Amino acid sequence: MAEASSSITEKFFLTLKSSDGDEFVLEESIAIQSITIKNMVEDGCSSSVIPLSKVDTETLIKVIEYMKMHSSTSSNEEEIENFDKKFVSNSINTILNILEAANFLDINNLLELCAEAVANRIKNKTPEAVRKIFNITSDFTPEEEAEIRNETPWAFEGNLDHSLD
Amino acid sequence: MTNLPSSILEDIFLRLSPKTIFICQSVCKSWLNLISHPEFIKLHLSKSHTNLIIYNINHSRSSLFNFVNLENKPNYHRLTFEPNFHLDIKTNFPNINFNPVGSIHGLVCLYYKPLDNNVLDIVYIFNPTTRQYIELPEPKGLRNCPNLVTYGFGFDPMRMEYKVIRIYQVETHNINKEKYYTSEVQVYTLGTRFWRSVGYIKLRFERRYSGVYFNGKLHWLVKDVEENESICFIDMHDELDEWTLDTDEELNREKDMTFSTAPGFNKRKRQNLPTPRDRNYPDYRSLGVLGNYLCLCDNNTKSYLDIWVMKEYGVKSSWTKEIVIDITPECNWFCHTMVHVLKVFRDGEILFQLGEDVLFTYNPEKKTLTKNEYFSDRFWASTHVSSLLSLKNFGTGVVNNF
Repeated sequence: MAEASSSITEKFFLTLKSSDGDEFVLEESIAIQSITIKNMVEDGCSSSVIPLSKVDTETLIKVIEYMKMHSSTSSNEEEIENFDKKFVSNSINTILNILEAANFLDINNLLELCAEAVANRIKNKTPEAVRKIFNITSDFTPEEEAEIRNETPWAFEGNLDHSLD
Repeated sequence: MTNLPSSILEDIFLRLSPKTIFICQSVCKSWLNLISHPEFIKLHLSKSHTNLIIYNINHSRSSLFNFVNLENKPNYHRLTFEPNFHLDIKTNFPNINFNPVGSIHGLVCLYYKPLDNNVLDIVYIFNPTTRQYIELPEPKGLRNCPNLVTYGFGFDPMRMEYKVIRIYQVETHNINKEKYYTSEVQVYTLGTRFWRSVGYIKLRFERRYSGVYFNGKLHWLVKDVEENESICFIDMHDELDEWTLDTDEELNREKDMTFSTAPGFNKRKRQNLPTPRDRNYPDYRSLGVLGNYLCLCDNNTKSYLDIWVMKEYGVKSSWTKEIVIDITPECNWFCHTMVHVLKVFRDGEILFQLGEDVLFTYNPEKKTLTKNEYFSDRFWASTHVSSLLSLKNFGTGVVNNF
């Protein structure tokens, strides 16, 4: 705590630890885009390592990449836009993991970006494809499923997309 | 996977088209429960953008419904006709033409007027988003001449009930053998089995146009026994409950459910009028909603279209002439046609429908008129939102798909 108040110009750093045990050192000003981390800092629980038990290393790397780009004063709007475009072209599974992390870390604009990306990616997909993407097993009986489809039969007409990404 | 909390799933679902939402409904039970939950349906409705639904009057030749997308930004607006989004129900109704009543919360009310006067009207509720429709129970009272029928479609925000009002107007005579109309107010609440008759009033309702829903009430321009114009309102919550059905003594009933119309109405002497729509007495006045106010468009003069706004609801002295559109000679397409307000955009321009074939916008600052022509056939336009509400929730009759 002594170092924390030594100088105003000094940059503060936080250490984030992924669920895989990897540690990442990040400037506090960047990390506090996460409201969850910001609250921890304000509550004084950030002196040591911040464990993020719900975020794996691969996902945490992406989230840090995103936070760095979005906090940097040097990056202009166009750069950020291009970054976001590239960011959402990650595989849908990666996006879903980031979405979950963004929810846990409470980073609102990352959450929005990923929710929009997921919505775009599941557009007009078959129910089977959506289940595979979200790793869901149907708990309907065939009769129940037929009944639901029968409510809006038109939604299941036309060329639906079978692909998983 | 996946442990996405329902709030995030909802966030994703809200960004999907209805088609994909309905596909997601069939993914698993928890998704079905989430999407069909009344709270989610309400949330989806509240986020739904207002667009225009176009009902094609001669739909035997084209699609029943079309949509015009309304982009409404602080500095500009844009209308985009969606040619690919047409809803065809020719297979269900090969030959009949509907008449529009109104669109509320994504539900559209239409009625079918049979050519044979001994056959009753059939009233329908459509949800173009779920592509469902239901036929309402038979109303009472044949439309045979000289009786008239007028409709309205409203919502009771307290009981969360949708109601169709049918005004059944029967020509009657007083002791001096003067003609007037006695109107029976019939109410159908969605989800019930019968129409209810809630009272009679001695008012003649404008029969060509349906009630205007505003402030939890439906409004019509009406004429009293002396042919004075006023505005009749029916509260969607109270209806006419405080009235008793069988007394003729309640002389103030008409007074209790009307308020003063906008200035500028020219009373016509009934004695001199062989038909109610005499060309010498134009009657191109219509009610509407302009932003947050009840308004009246008066297109009775050749050179101006006046738009009156009732600044304080129900208060006669608050009628203000808000907009005067100068009808220049090159805008002669404008004259002697009914004008309806559809929407005020955030940039200040106002969207209107003229007659049954033109959409136009007016810019009050620049005083410019812009004509939008998308359709060759006659149509009726209304603002409309998209709702996921299944008509099965009203569970009284057969729900059909189209």
